[in-house]
Amino acid sequence: MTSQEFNILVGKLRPRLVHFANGFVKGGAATAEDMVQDAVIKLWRSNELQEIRNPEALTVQILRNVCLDYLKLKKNNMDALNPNFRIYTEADPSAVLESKDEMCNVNGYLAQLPEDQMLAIRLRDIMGYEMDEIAKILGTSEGNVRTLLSRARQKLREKLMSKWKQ
Amino acid sequence: MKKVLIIVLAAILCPYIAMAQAKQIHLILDKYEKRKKVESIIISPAVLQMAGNGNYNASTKELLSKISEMRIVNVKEDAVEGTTPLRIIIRDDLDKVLISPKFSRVLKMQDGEELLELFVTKESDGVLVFLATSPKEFAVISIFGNIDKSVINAVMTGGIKVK
Amino acid sequence: METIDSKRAGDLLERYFEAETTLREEELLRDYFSNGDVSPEHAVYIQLFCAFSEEREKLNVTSPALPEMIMPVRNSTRKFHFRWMSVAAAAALAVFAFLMIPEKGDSLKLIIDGVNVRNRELALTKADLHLEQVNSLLVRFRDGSNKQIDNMNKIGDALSPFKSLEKILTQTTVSDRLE
Repeated sequence: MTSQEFNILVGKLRPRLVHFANGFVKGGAATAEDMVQDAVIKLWRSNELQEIRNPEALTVQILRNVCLDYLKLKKNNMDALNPNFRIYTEADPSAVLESKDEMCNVNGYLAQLPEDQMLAIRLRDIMGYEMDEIAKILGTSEGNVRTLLSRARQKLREKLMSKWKQ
Repeated sequence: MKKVLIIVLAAILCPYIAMAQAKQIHLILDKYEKRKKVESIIISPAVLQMAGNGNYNASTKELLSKISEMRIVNVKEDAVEGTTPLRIIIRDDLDKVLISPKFSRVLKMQDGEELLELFVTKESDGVLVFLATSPKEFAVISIFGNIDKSVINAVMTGGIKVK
Repeated sequence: METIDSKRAGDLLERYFEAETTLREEELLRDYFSNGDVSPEHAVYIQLFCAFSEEREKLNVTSPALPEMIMPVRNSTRKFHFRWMSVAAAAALAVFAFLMIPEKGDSLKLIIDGVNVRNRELALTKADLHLEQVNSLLVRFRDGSNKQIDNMNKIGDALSPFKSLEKILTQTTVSDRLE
Protein backbone atom coordinates (compact mmCIF):
# COMPACT_ATOMS: atom_id res chain seq x y z
CA MET A 1 0.00 0.00 0.00
CA THR A 2 1.13 3.51 -0.57
CA SER A 3 2.13 5.62 2.36
CA GLN A 4 -0.78 7.89 1.73
CA GLU A 5 -3.28 5.03 1.92
CA PHE A 6 -1.54 3.83 5.04
CA ASN A 7 -1.71 7.22 6.69
CA ILE A 8 -5.36 7.73 5.87
CA LEU A 9 -6.31 4.32 7.20
CA VAL A 10 -4.28 4.72 10.34
CA GLY A 11 -5.83 8.12 10.91
CA LYS A 12 -9.27 6.52 10.92
CA LEU A 13 -8.27 3.64 13.13
CA ARG A 14 -6.22 5.65 15.56
CA PRO A 15 -8.96 6.85 17.97
CA ARG A 16 -10.15 3.32 18.51
CA LEU A 17 -6.65 2.04 19.07
CA VAL A 18 -5.78 4.80 21.50
CA HIS A 19 -9.00 4.20 23.38
CA PHE A 20 -8.13 0.55 23.69
CA ALA A 21 -4.63 1.29 24.94
CA ASN A 22 -5.94 3.92 27.34
CA GLY A 23 -7.76 1.18 29.17
CA PHE A 24 -4.54 -0.17 30.59
CA VAL A 25 -1.81 2.38 30.00
CA LYS A 26 -2.57 4.93 32.63
CA GLY A 27 -1.01 8.21 33.53
CA GLY A 28 2.62 7.19 33.42
CA ALA A 29 5.12 8.86 31.15
CA ALA A 30 4.40 6.19 28.51
CA THR A 31 1.06 7.22 27.07
CA ALA A 32 -1.46 5.34 25.02
CA GLU A 33 -0.73 7.65 22.09
CA ASP A 34 2.96 6.81 22.29
CA MET A 35 2.28 3.09 22.32
CA VAL A 36 -0.02 3.27 19.34
CA GLN A 37 2.39 5.48 17.43
CA ASP A 38 5.30 3.13 18.11
CA ALA A 39 3.19 0.21 16.98
CA VAL A 40 2.22 2.00 13.76
CA ILE A 41 5.82 2.88 12.93
CA LYS A 42 6.99 -0.62 13.68
CA LEU A 43 4.36 -2.02 11.37
CA TRP A 44 5.24 0.41 8.61
CA ARG A 45 8.82 -0.74 8.72
CA SER A 46 8.08 -4.42 8.90
CA ASN A 47 7.52 -7.14 6.36
CA GLU A 48 4.06 -7.92 7.64
CA LEU A 49 2.60 -4.91 5.89
CA GLN A 50 2.82 -6.72 2.57
CA GLU A 51 0.51 -9.46 3.74
CA ILE A 52 -2.22 -7.16 4.93
CA ARG A 53 -5.19 -7.10 2.63
CA ASN A 54 -7.80 -5.17 4.58
CA PRO A 55 -8.22 -2.67 7.41
CA GLU A 56 -9.30 -5.25 9.97
CA ALA A 57 -6.05 -7.08 9.48
CA LEU A 58 -4.25 -3.77 9.81
CA THR A 59 -5.92 -3.11 13.14
CA VAL A 60 -5.05 -6.58 14.31
CA GLN A 61 -1.40 -6.07 13.43
CA ILE A 62 -1.20 -2.72 15.16
CA LEU A 63 -2.94 -4.11 18.23
CA ARG A 64 -0.50 -6.95 18.19
CA ASN A 65 2.42 -4.58 18.30
CA VAL A 66 0.80 -2.57 21.07
CA CYS A 67 0.03 -5.62 23.19
CA LEU A 68 3.37 -7.32 22.71
CA ASP A 69 5.22 -4.09 23.45
CA TYR A 70 3.13 -3.61 26.54
CA LEU A 71 3.81 -7.14 27.74
CA LYS A 72 7.51 -6.76 27.07
CA LEU A 73 7.63 -3.40 28.79
CA LYS A 74 5.90 -4.79 31.83
CA LYS A 75 8.33 -7.66 31.89
CA ASN A 76 11.51 -5.64 31.58
CA ASN A 77 10.76 -2.38 33.20
CA MET A 78 7.92 -1.46 35.46
CA ASP A 79 8.62 2.23 35.78
CA ALA A 80 7.41 3.50 32.44
CA LEU A 81 3.89 2.40 33.27
CA ASN A 82 3.94 3.49 36.87
CA PRO A 83 1.70 6.49 37.32
CA ASN A 84 3.98 7.85 40.00
CA PHE A 85 7.02 8.03 37.78
CA ARG A 86 7.14 11.67 36.78
CA ILE A 87 10.71 12.84 37.24
CA TYR A 88 11.75 13.41 33.66
CA THR A 89 8.70 14.83 32.00
CA GLU A 90 8.58 18.51 31.36
CA ALA A 91 4.89 18.96 30.80
CA ASP A 92 2.58 17.42 33.31
CA PRO A 93 0.70 14.58 31.64
CA SER A 94 -3.01 14.96 32.24
CA ALA A 95 -4.09 12.88 35.19
CA VAL A 96 -6.54 10.10 34.56
CA LEU A 97 -9.88 11.36 35.77
CA GLU A 98 -11.74 9.10 38.10
CA SER A 99 -14.98 8.49 36.34
CA LYS A 100 -18.10 7.54 38.17
CA ASP A 101 -19.07 4.93 35.69
CA GLU A 102 -19.22 1.17 36.06
CA MET A 103 -16.02 0.60 34.17
CA CYS A 104 -14.13 2.34 36.93
CA ASN A 105 -14.44 -0.58 39.31
CA VAL A 106 -14.10 -3.21 36.68
CA ASN A 107 -10.98 -1.46 35.42
CA GLY A 108 -9.57 -1.83 38.88
CA TYR A 109 -10.23 -5.56 38.86
CA LEU A 110 -8.79 -5.90 35.38
CA ALA A 111 -5.63 -4.12 36.44
CA GLN A 112 -5.13 -6.73 39.11
CA LEU A 113 -5.13 -9.55 36.60
CA PRO A 114 -1.95 -10.83 34.99
CA GLU A 115 -1.32 -8.72 31.89
CA ASP A 116 -2.02 -11.35 29.30
CA GLN A 117 -5.34 -12.24 30.92
CA MET A 118 -6.25 -8.56 31.12
CA LEU A 119 -5.50 -8.05 27.45
CA ALA A 120 -7.49 -11.16 26.49
CA ILE A 121 -10.56 -9.81 28.30
CA ARG A 122 -10.23 -6.39 26.73
CA LEU A 123 -9.81 -7.85 23.29
CA ARG A 124 -12.79 -10.17 23.66
CA ASP A 125 -15.35 -8.52 25.89
CA ILE A 126 -14.68 -4.95 24.87
CA MET A 127 -13.16 -5.00 21.39
CA GLY A 128 -15.19 -8.05 20.31
CA TYR A 129 -12.49 -10.02 18.54
CA GLU A 130 -12.81 -13.68 17.62
CA MET A 131 -10.58 -16.27 19.27
CA ASP A 132 -8.32 -16.64 16.27
CA GLU A 133 -7.86 -12.90 15.99
CA ILE A 134 -6.96 -12.59 19.66
CA ALA A 135 -4.52 -15.45 19.23
CA LYS A 136 -2.84 -13.52 16.43
CA ILE A 137 -2.72 -10.32 18.45
CA LEU A 138 -1.22 -11.93 21.51
CA GLY A 139 1.07 -14.18 19.55
CA THR A 140 -0.29 -17.40 21.01
CA SER A 141 -2.65 -20.30 20.29
CA GLU A 142 -6.45 -20.24 20.35
CA GLY A 143 -6.39 -22.86 23.08
CA ASN A 144 -4.28 -20.59 25.22
CA VAL A 145 -6.60 -17.67 24.58
CA ARG A 146 -9.50 -19.75 25.82
CA THR A 147 -7.55 -20.61 28.95
CA LEU A 148 -6.60 -16.98 29.53
CA LEU A 149 -10.19 -15.88 29.12
CA SER A 150 -11.69 -18.49 31.37
CA ARG A 151 -9.13 -17.89 34.10
CA ALA A 152 -9.58 -14.14 33.86
CA ARG A 153 -13.35 -14.34 33.91
CA GLN A 154 -13.31 -16.66 36.88
CA LYS A 155 -11.01 -14.32 38.76
CA LEU A 156 -13.34 -11.45 38.00
CA ARG A 157 -16.20 -13.54 39.29
CA GLU A 158 -14.37 -14.13 42.56
CA LYS A 159 -13.76 -10.43 43.01
CA LEU A 160 -17.36 -9.58 42.23
CA MET A 161 -18.60 -12.22 44.65
CA SER A 162 -16.42 -11.08 47.49
CA LYS A 163 -17.39 -7.45 46.95
CA TRP A 164 -21.03 -8.43 46.78
CA LYS A 165 -20.95 -10.13 50.13
CA GLN A 166 -19.59 -7.07 51.93
CA MET B 1 51.48 5.90 26.14
CA LYS B 2 48.33 5.49 24.24
CA LYS B 3 48.35 3.29 21.27
CA VAL B 4 46.37 4.24 18.25
CA LEU B 5 45.51 1.26 16.12
CA ILE B 6 43.92 1.86 12.79
CA ILE B 7 42.59 -0.64 10.37
CA VAL B 8 40.88 0.69 7.35
CA LEU B 9 39.11 -1.51 4.87
CA ALA B 10 38.15 -0.32 1.44
CA ALA B 11 34.46 -0.16 0.77
CA ILE B 12 33.35 -2.05 -2.26
CA LEU B 13 30.09 -1.17 -3.88
CA CYS B 14 27.91 -4.06 -4.84
CA PRO B 15 24.64 -3.91 -6.70
CA TYR B 16 22.40 -4.83 -3.82
CA ILE B 17 19.59 -2.98 -2.24
CA ALA B 18 20.58 -2.29 1.33
CA MET B 19 17.16 -1.37 2.59
CA ALA B 20 16.91 -4.71 4.31
CA GLN B 21 20.05 -3.97 6.28
CA ALA B 22 18.73 -0.63 7.43
CA LYS B 23 15.59 -2.34 8.57
CA GLN B 24 17.53 -4.98 10.45
CA ILE B 25 19.38 -2.29 12.33
CA HIS B 26 16.07 -0.58 13.12
CA LEU B 27 14.72 -3.83 14.50
CA ILE B 28 17.67 -4.33 16.82
CA LEU B 29 17.48 -0.75 18.06
CA ASP B 30 13.73 -1.08 18.56
CA LYS B 31 14.30 -4.17 20.60
CA TYR B 32 16.57 -2.58 23.15
CA GLU B 33 15.71 1.08 23.19
CA LYS B 34 13.21 0.89 26.01
CA ARG B 35 15.23 -1.12 28.47
CA LYS B 36 16.39 0.08 31.83
CA LYS B 37 19.70 1.92 31.78
CA VAL B 38 19.32 2.49 28.08
CA GLU B 39 18.92 5.85 26.39
CA SER B 40 17.51 6.23 22.96
CA ILE B 41 17.39 9.33 20.82
CA ILE B 42 15.75 9.57 17.43
CA ILE B 43 16.69 12.61 15.42
CA SER B 44 15.28 13.83 12.18
CA PRO B 45 17.43 15.70 9.66
CA ALA B 46 15.61 18.92 10.53
CA VAL B 47 17.76 19.26 13.66
CA LEU B 48 21.04 18.30 12.07
CA GLN B 49 23.52 20.75 10.68
CA MET B 50 27.02 20.82 9.32
CA ALA B 51 29.70 21.86 11.77
CA GLY B 52 31.38 25.19 11.28
CA ASN B 53 28.74 26.18 8.81
CA GLY B 54 26.85 29.21 9.83
CA ASN B 55 25.30 29.35 6.40
CA TYR B 56 23.01 26.66 5.16
CA ASN B 57 24.18 26.47 1.59
CA ALA B 58 23.31 24.23 -1.31
CA SER B 59 25.93 21.57 -0.63
CA THR B 60 25.08 21.17 3.05
CA LYS B 61 21.43 21.10 2.14
CA GLU B 62 22.10 18.40 -0.39
CA LEU B 63 24.10 16.39 2.06
CA LEU B 64 21.55 16.59 4.84
CA SER B 65 18.79 15.71 2.42
CA LYS B 66 20.44 12.34 2.00
CA ILE B 67 19.91 11.54 5.64
CA SER B 68 16.50 10.25 6.63
CA GLU B 69 17.06 9.65 10.31
CA MET B 70 19.66 9.34 13.01
CA ARG B 71 19.23 7.00 15.95
CA ILE B 72 21.41 6.80 19.00
CA VAL B 73 21.05 3.99 21.48
CA ASN B 74 23.30 4.18 24.48
CA VAL B 75 23.64 1.18 26.79
CA LYS B 76 25.17 1.85 30.17
CA GLU B 77 27.77 -0.52 31.49
CA ASP B 78 25.54 -1.74 34.31
CA ALA B 79 22.55 -2.55 32.10
CA VAL B 80 21.81 -6.25 32.28
CA GLU B 81 19.46 -8.87 30.98
CA GLY B 82 19.39 -11.58 33.57
CA THR B 83 23.03 -12.00 34.48
CA THR B 84 24.51 -10.93 31.16
CA PRO B 85 25.55 -7.34 30.49
CA LEU B 86 23.12 -5.91 27.96
CA ARG B 87 25.90 -4.40 25.87
CA ILE B 88 27.17 -7.90 25.07
CA ILE B 89 23.73 -9.07 24.03
CA ILE B 90 23.08 -6.10 21.80
CA ARG B 91 26.57 -6.37 20.35
CA ASP B 92 25.89 -10.00 19.49
CA ASP B 93 22.69 -9.07 17.69
CA LEU B 94 24.45 -6.27 15.85
CA ASP B 95 27.36 -8.49 14.84
CA LYS B 96 24.97 -10.90 13.19
CA VAL B 97 23.91 -8.11 10.89
CA LEU B 98 27.13 -6.12 10.58
CA ILE B 99 29.56 -8.98 10.07
CA SER B 100 28.22 -9.87 6.67
CA PRO B 101 28.97 -9.29 3.02
CA LYS B 102 26.41 -6.52 2.99
CA PHE B 103 28.43 -4.33 5.31
CA SER B 104 32.00 -3.04 5.34
CA ARG B 105 33.84 -2.07 8.43
CA VAL B 106 35.33 1.18 7.32
CA LEU B 107 37.10 2.03 10.50
CA LYS B 108 38.29 0.49 13.70
CA MET B 109 40.06 2.69 16.11
CA GLN B 110 41.26 2.08 19.62
CA ASP B 111 42.51 4.78 21.92
CA GLY B 112 43.26 3.52 25.38
CA GLU B 113 40.00 2.08 26.65
CA GLU B 114 37.87 3.58 23.95
CA LEU B 115 37.03 1.75 20.78
CA LEU B 116 35.32 3.21 17.78
CA GLU B 117 34.13 1.23 14.79
CA LEU B 118 32.31 2.35 11.73
CA PHE B 119 30.26 0.07 9.50
CA VAL B 120 28.61 1.09 6.30
CA THR B 121 26.29 -0.78 3.97
CA LYS B 122 27.99 -1.52 0.72
CA GLU B 123 25.12 -0.27 -1.33
CA SER B 124 24.69 3.40 -0.65
CA ASP B 125 20.99 3.32 0.12
CA GLY B 126 21.21 1.98 3.63
CA VAL B 127 22.81 2.83 6.89
CA LEU B 128 25.99 3.92 8.56
CA VAL B 129 26.66 2.57 12.04
CA PHE B 130 29.15 3.82 14.60
CA LEU B 131 29.85 1.55 17.55
CA ALA B 132 31.56 3.38 20.37
CA THR B 133 32.71 1.20 23.23
CA SER B 134 34.04 2.70 26.42
CA PRO B 135 34.24 1.49 30.03
CA LYS B 136 31.12 3.35 31.01
CA GLU B 137 28.86 2.65 28.09
CA PHE B 138 28.28 1.25 24.65
CA ALA B 139 26.79 3.58 22.09
CA VAL B 140 25.29 2.71 18.72
CA ILE B 141 24.91 5.70 16.46
CA SER B 142 23.13 4.94 13.21
CA ILE B 143 22.56 7.24 10.34
CA PHE B 144 19.98 6.09 7.83
CA GLY B 145 19.42 7.24 4.30
CA ASN B 146 21.33 7.55 1.10
CA ILE B 147 24.71 6.98 2.64
CA ASP B 148 27.14 7.69 -0.13
CA LYS B 149 30.76 8.76 -0.06
CA SER B 150 29.95 12.39 0.56
CA VAL B 151 27.96 11.50 3.65
CA ILE B 152 30.65 9.16 4.96
CA ASN B 153 33.21 11.84 4.32
CA ALA B 154 31.21 14.45 6.16
CA VAL B 155 30.64 12.16 9.10
CA MET B 156 34.30 11.12 9.31
CA THR B 157 35.48 14.69 9.35
CA GLY B 158 33.22 15.42 12.27
CA GLY B 159 30.96 17.40 10.05
CA ILE B 160 27.56 16.47 11.32
CA LYS B 161 26.18 17.93 14.50
CA VAL B 162 22.89 18.73 16.12
CA LYS B 163 21.66 22.27 16.33
CA MET C 1 -33.20 -8.24 19.51
CA GLU C 2 -34.00 -11.52 21.16
CA THR C 3 -34.17 -11.30 24.94
CA ILE C 4 -33.27 -14.31 26.97
CA ASP C 5 -34.82 -15.57 30.13
CA SER C 6 -33.16 -16.27 33.41
CA LYS C 7 -32.63 -19.98 32.71
CA ARG C 8 -30.96 -19.38 29.38
CA ALA C 9 -28.85 -16.69 31.05
CA GLY C 10 -27.76 -19.19 33.65
CA ASP C 11 -26.66 -21.66 30.98
CA LEU C 12 -24.82 -19.04 29.04
CA LEU C 13 -23.09 -17.74 32.13
CA GLU C 14 -21.78 -21.18 32.94
CA ARG C 15 -20.30 -21.42 29.49
CA TYR C 16 -19.07 -17.85 29.64
CA PHE C 17 -16.82 -18.61 32.56
CA GLU C 18 -15.40 -21.55 30.68
CA ALA C 19 -14.74 -19.21 27.73
CA GLU C 20 -17.00 -21.32 25.54
CA THR C 21 -19.49 -18.69 24.47
CA THR C 22 -19.62 -17.20 21.01
CA LEU C 23 -19.59 -13.47 20.41
CA ARG C 24 -23.31 -13.60 19.69
CA GLU C 25 -24.02 -15.35 23.00
CA GLU C 26 -21.94 -12.80 24.84
CA GLU C 27 -23.98 -10.09 23.21
CA LEU C 28 -27.14 -11.77 24.47
CA LEU C 29 -25.70 -11.79 27.96
CA ARG C 30 -24.86 -8.11 27.83
CA ASP C 31 -28.40 -7.30 26.71
CA TYR C 32 -29.84 -9.45 29.46
CA PHE C 33 -27.87 -7.53 32.09
CA SER C 34 -28.66 -4.11 30.76
CA ASN C 35 -32.40 -4.74 30.56
CA GLY C 36 -32.97 -4.34 34.24
CA ASP C 37 -34.91 -7.58 34.56
CA VAL C 38 -32.19 -9.67 36.06
CA SER C 39 -32.91 -12.50 38.44
CA PRO C 40 -31.38 -12.08 41.93
CA GLU C 41 -28.93 -14.94 41.56
CA HIS C 42 -27.32 -13.16 38.62
CA ALA C 43 -27.35 -9.66 40.09
CA VAL C 44 -23.72 -9.90 41.13
CA TYR C 45 -22.68 -9.83 37.47
CA ILE C 46 -24.61 -6.74 36.46
CA GLN C 47 -21.67 -4.44 37.08
CA LEU C 48 -19.38 -6.52 34.91
CA PHE C 49 -21.55 -6.79 31.84
CA CYS C 50 -22.77 -3.23 32.08
CA ALA C 51 -19.20 -2.04 32.23
CA PHE C 52 -18.41 -3.94 29.05
CA SER C 53 -21.51 -2.53 27.34
CA GLU C 54 -20.48 0.98 28.30
CA GLU C 55 -16.97 0.53 27.00
CA ARG C 56 -18.25 -0.85 23.72
CA GLU C 57 -20.54 2.16 23.39
CA LYS C 58 -17.64 4.51 23.93
CA LEU C 59 -15.61 2.66 21.39
CA ASN C 60 -18.30 2.99 18.75
CA VAL C 61 -18.54 6.68 19.49
CA THR C 62 -14.79 7.24 19.11
CA SER C 63 -14.59 5.50 15.76
CA PRO C 64 -15.53 7.75 12.89
CA ALA C 65 -17.73 6.13 10.27
CA LEU C 66 -15.48 4.48 7.78
CA PRO C 67 -16.54 4.72 4.16
CA GLU C 68 -18.05 1.59 2.59
CA MET C 69 -14.96 0.42 0.89
CA ILE C 70 -12.82 0.49 3.95
CA MET C 71 -15.12 -1.15 6.51
CA PRO C 72 -15.19 -4.82 5.69
CA VAL C 73 -17.95 -7.18 6.70
CA ARG C 74 -16.50 -9.95 8.77
CA ASN C 75 -16.00 -13.25 6.93
CA SER C 76 -16.56 -11.41 3.71
CA THR C 77 -14.89 -12.85 0.67
CA ARG C 78 -14.28 -9.39 -0.72
CA LYS C 79 -10.61 -8.62 -0.86
CA PHE C 80 -9.19 -5.19 -1.39
CA HIS C 81 -6.05 -5.05 -3.42
CA PHE C 82 -3.65 -2.33 -2.57
CA ARG C 83 -0.92 -1.29 -4.93
CA TRP C 84 2.36 -2.59 -3.61
CA MET C 85 5.40 -0.47 -4.02
CA SER C 86 8.63 -1.74 -5.47
CA VAL C 87 11.44 -2.36 -3.06
CA ALA C 88 13.41 0.57 -4.43
CA ALA C 89 10.59 2.97 -3.79
CA ALA C 90 10.25 1.53 -0.32
CA ALA C 91 13.41 3.27 0.75
CA ALA C 92 12.07 6.65 -0.21
CA LEU C 93 8.76 5.88 1.40
CA ALA C 94 10.40 4.92 4.65
CA VAL C 95 11.60 8.48 4.79
CA PHE C 96 8.27 9.78 3.64
CA ALA C 97 6.40 7.78 6.25
CA PHE C 98 8.67 9.04 8.94
CA LEU C 99 7.96 12.60 7.93
CA MET C 100 4.29 12.04 7.23
CA ILE C 101 3.16 10.18 10.30
CA PRO C 102 1.86 13.04 12.38
CA GLU C 103 4.09 13.61 15.37
CA LYS C 104 2.95 16.97 16.68
CA GLY C 105 5.95 18.63 15.07
CA ASP C 106 8.38 16.43 16.95
CA SER C 107 11.60 15.91 15.14
CA LEU C 108 13.28 14.56 18.24
CA LYS C 109 12.43 11.68 20.44
CA LEU C 110 14.13 10.76 23.69
CA ILE C 111 13.62 7.63 25.68
CA ILE C 112 15.38 7.11 29.01
CA ASP C 113 14.91 3.82 30.88
CA GLY C 114 11.92 3.06 28.70
CA VAL C 115 10.21 6.36 29.45
CA ASN C 116 9.38 8.71 26.63
CA VAL C 117 10.85 11.97 27.87
CA ARG C 118 9.31 15.06 26.35
CA ASN C 119 12.21 17.37 26.88
CA ARG C 120 13.62 18.72 23.68
CA GLU C 121 16.58 20.47 25.28
CA LEU C 122 17.65 17.34 27.06
CA ALA C 123 17.34 15.30 23.89
CA LEU C 124 19.49 17.77 21.99
CA THR C 125 22.07 17.90 24.74
CA LYS C 126 22.38 14.15 24.91
CA ALA C 127 22.56 13.73 21.16
CA ASP C 128 25.23 16.38 21.05
CA LEU C 129 27.19 14.63 23.76
CA HIS C 130 27.26 11.36 21.89
CA LEU C 131 28.19 12.95 18.60
CA GLU C 132 30.96 14.90 20.32
CA GLN C 133 32.33 11.70 21.81
CA VAL C 134 32.49 10.16 18.37
CA ASN C 135 33.92 13.28 16.83
CA SER C 136 36.67 13.53 19.40
CA LEU C 137 37.71 9.98 18.67
CA LEU C 138 37.66 10.74 14.97
CA VAL C 139 39.89 13.75 15.50
CA ARG C 140 42.43 11.51 17.14
CA PHE C 141 42.09 9.16 14.21
CA ARG C 142 42.79 11.90 11.73
CA ASP C 143 45.81 13.11 13.68
CA GLY C 144 46.99 9.60 14.37
CA SER C 145 46.60 8.24 10.88
CA ASN C 146 48.99 10.79 9.46
CA LYS C 147 51.67 9.57 11.82
CA GLN C 148 50.67 5.98 11.20
CA ILE C 149 51.06 6.25 7.48
CA ASP C 150 54.51 7.77 7.92
CA ASN C 151 55.53 4.94 10.20
CA MET C 152 54.14 2.44 7.74
CA ASN C 153 56.24 3.88 5.02
CA LYS C 154 59.37 3.70 7.15
CA ILE C 155 58.82 0.10 8.08
CA GLY C 156 58.23 -0.65 4.44
CA ASP C 157 59.38 -3.90 2.97
CA ALA C 158 60.82 -5.30 6.15
CA LEU C 159 57.41 -6.46 7.28
CA SER C 160 55.52 -7.92 4.35
CA PRO C 161 52.06 -8.23 6.00
CA PHE C 162 52.05 -4.49 6.25
CA LYS C 163 52.75 -4.06 2.60
CA SER C 164 49.23 -4.87 1.54
CA LEU C 165 47.85 -2.83 4.41
CA GLU C 166 49.86 0.16 3.34
CA LYS C 167 48.54 -0.29 -0.15
CA ILE C 168 45.01 -0.25 1.15
CA LEU C 169 45.71 2.78 3.29
CA THR C 170 47.02 4.81 0.45
CA GLN C 171 44.44 3.62 -2.01
CA THR C 172 41.32 4.38 -0.04
CA THR C 173 39.74 7.73 0.21
CA VAL C 174 40.91 8.01 3.82
CA SER C 175 43.78 10.22 2.84
CA ASP C 176 41.39 12.23 0.72
CA ARG C 177 39.28 12.83 3.77
CA LEU C 178 42.09 14.12 5.88
CA GLU C 179 42.10 17.82 6.14
